[in-house]
Amino acid sequence: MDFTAIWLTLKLASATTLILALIGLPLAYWLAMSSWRGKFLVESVVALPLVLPPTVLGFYVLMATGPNSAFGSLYERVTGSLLPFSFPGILLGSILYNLPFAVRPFMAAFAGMNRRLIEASWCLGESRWRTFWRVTMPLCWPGVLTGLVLTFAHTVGEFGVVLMVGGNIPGVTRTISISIYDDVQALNYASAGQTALGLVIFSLVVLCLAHVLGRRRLPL
Amino acid sequence: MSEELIADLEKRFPRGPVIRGALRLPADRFQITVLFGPSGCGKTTVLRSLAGLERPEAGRIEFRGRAWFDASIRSFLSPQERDVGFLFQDYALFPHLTVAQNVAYGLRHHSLAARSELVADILDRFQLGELKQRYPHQVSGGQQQRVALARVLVRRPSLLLLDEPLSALDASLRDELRRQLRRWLADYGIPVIVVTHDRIEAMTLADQIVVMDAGQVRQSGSVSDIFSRPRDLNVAQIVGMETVVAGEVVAVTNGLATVDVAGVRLTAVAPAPEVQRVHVCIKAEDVLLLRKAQTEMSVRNQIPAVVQWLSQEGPLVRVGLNGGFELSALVTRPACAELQIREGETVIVAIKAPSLHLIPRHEAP
Repeated sequence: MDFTAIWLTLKLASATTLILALIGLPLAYWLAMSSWRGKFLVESVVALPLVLPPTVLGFYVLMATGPNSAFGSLYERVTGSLLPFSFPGILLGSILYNLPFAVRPFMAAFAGMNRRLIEASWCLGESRWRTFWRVTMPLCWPGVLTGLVLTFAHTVGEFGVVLMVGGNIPGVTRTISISIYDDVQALNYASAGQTALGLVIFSLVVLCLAHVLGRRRLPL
Repeated sequence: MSEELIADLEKRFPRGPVIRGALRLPADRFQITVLFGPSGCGKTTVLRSLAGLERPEAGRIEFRGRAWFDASIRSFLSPQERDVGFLFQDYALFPHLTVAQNVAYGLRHHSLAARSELVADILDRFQLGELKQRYPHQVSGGQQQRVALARVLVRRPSLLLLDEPLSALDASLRDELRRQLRRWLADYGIPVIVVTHDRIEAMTLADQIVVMDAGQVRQSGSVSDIFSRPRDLNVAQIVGMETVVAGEVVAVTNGLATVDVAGVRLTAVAPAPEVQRVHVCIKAEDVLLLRKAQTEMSVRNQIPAVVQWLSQEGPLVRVGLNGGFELSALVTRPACAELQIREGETVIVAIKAPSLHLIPRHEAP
């Protein structure tokens, strides 16, 4: 087994999950609560990675972050390095690709909440921010946790986007799924089989966990 | 500075009706204003606008000289800045917090000691002390209502808004709480606005009634104004009680009360023991007309009355009468002809004791 790849994958999955919690929670809250008529556009963009081939998304991320692009050259000037074929590069691709896996469960949890509870808290003098932490989160955490677990698991198994944006650099961008691909290319079936089995078991455990967590709700 | 709540607002919903609300009431003392009307008439929208939970498109809300909302200068205070207590129809208790935690929720800015004292006091007052460790789903509907009320009142808001406060309760509890609610609220010395579609609730609680229908205020005034002098047929249909007169219980024997109404003695089913001043309410369809007094008859109340006016309503005739107080009767057209009821004639009005509804009366001082 390729422990460098495992370590790198866990790092990528943790970072993706953390950042998606920071971006995804406010975005999902806004999508669930807003009555803005154009929000279906945002919802569709968020859901896009569900139907788009990872190679397509990867291709656009590559184009958008390359040294000839506006964003890519700005990034190069600020950090002195390039995004493609680097860890920050695959992190960016992975965040975009996992957006629906985080935002959609968050949104479902927020949308299923009784709005009166939030309004009651406002009328009791609590700010929107404090209401979120005192009422919304305690009642929505099963859904939020499900989103985080799914995001983590999905990042661990990611292949297309990482390959397009990051290529195959050991210790930098070669994740577990790419190391399996490498092993098969090199006819090293024993090693590929081990890693693949490990990934299957891991995914199964995570999905079971997500189900159990999703079911834990307060009696209302 | 005027110690008043003055609201005049307009709220539009996409593909929905336009709601226009206008209210004016004293804000420096206890007084219950009831927003009354059929479901969907916009009364809850008005209440939510007062709380800052809806933002109207036009108008102005001023409370004790301070603008809460003014469309002309785009100013809008959030619910947090308004210091109102809002009781939701479903009570909106936080399911993940115990009774005591729910009540303490809005007291974050108090010291721990002050908070626990306030909570203990109000739990006592609302007889919830035993239940403080329970969760909302572990207590009854009536207890949930008291928790919600305690949670709001413990903060001593300057305005209290109640949205259908009794509708989630079963009928017997509703009867009991209707009487208690007013007493609970009186001590706080703050104006209260109650939304309800229940006529008895409106009459029991109100000092002032605002009748709404189809997004508009139709009439506002005291209980007797609204119920006995509805401005038009629309209001009359909404209030649905043709005769409402002030009366006083003078004696109670064997569960029956003798009520004095403008010098006329009527027999009715006795109200709660402490009630003395009442509104006597009579539906026109419950009033019988006789040519002369009958002795062999179960009807307790027989009063001579002079026919004032007649008005045709399809197969029925509405008869306006004066028998010391004004009342109306609804009879069929053939009955009216047989009895030869004409203006100026004296007839006997007969009303069964159970058809006299006595509702406790609190006139505004």
